[in-house]
Amino acid sequence: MSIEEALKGIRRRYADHLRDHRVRLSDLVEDARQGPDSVSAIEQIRFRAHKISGTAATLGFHSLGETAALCEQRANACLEAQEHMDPMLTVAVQLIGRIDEALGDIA
Amino acid sequence: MRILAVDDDPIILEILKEVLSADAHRQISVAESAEEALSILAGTAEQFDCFLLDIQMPGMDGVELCGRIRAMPQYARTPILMLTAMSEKSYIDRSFAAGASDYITKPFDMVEFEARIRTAEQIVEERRRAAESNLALMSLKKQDGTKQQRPPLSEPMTVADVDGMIEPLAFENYLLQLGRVQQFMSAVIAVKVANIAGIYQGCSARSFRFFLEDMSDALADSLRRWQFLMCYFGNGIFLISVERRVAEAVHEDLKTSLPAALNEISPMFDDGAPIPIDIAVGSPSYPGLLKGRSVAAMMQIAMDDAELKAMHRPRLAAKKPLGGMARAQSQEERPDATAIAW
Repeated sequence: MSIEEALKGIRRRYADHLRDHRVRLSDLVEDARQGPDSVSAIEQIRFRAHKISGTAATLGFHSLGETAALCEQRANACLEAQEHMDPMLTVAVQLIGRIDEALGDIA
Repeated sequence: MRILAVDDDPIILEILKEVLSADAHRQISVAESAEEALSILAGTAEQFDCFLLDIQMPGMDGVELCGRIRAMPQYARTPILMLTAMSEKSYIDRSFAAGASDYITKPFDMVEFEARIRTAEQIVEERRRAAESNLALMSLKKQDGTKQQRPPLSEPMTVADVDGMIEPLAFENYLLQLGRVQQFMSAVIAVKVANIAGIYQGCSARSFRFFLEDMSDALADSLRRWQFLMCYFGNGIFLISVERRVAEAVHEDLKTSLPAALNEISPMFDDGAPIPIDIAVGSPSYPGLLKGRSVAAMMQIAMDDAELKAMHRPRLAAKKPLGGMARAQSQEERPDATAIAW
């Protein structure tokens, strides 16, 4: 089996991870907006965005990887430079949209 | 080649297994955390030849794991490749300072990844051959009673357990990894032991290694105020990477701090006589942003400058030729143990 064929199989399994990321990110966006501990929610968004950015583009989902990297960058700005969270949340919502697109591609 | 890959993302581990196992000579083991990796290392009798480490993991991170692995004597020189989405300079600096040999950023390109792994394999193979021939040589010498041979003077060497000191190949990989903008923010300074040939002549293999360790300790001590990485490039040349904005200050600082540190350490020949040291410190070498000077060129310019300064200074070694390792000079005959040219 070639590496490309093997990667196809991994992409299908990656779909399960993406579904989990999608559900958790949707909850975390709500938590960041309304929850009692928005800092913790932003930290978790950053962690998930970081993981997606590292893996997605390696598997060929380039726009998903780029949006995840931007989301991580914005989350860093919120946590380290105390910037307002709205721009980060906007990108987090876009990231959820990109996950849907990637899931569509895999299907 | 036995490889241990550590990443908390099972998908990345799956990708690594698929890509690496395309070559039948490779055996891949995986761990989903630093703690699991340490437990695998503790429980296996057979050594690994290469490590691939993610940085951001829950619990112990990959940089700390890299330091822990590097501290194990059997893995002091094993290739450790950081495989991470962290592209900030601070992570690159920390990783190389902890002993990483190379740094690959995710997402990674399969072709480039394969090339880096092949480089690691070549290093492992060269070291295995060198170890075998050393063993054969030692066994021959044991038979005829000859002393251990010195490595060639030009050979780059790894000096272990010195703050900021990394392998020469890792030093080059570090500068390459910084990327164009971050490279522009860096500078390289070369320090040349001008009378290295005389010192080499006067030392046994053992005392020459001690001398290099003493020089490395003195440099690390002199540079402790600054953030730096350095390596020993052979021929008496040490290369130091510092931030561009402080490079001139570091260069100036070395004028006083290096002789003081060397006088305190006072390197010695086998017979206990102090080694007179003649040092030339080159000007900082910077990458060109527009011309895109290569990392190799930046290092070469730094080395050339230090070599030129070493050539054009009154030689301490010429005034005080160094004898064989057994020759003892009285303290009154010696000049100051350290002289520096700028």
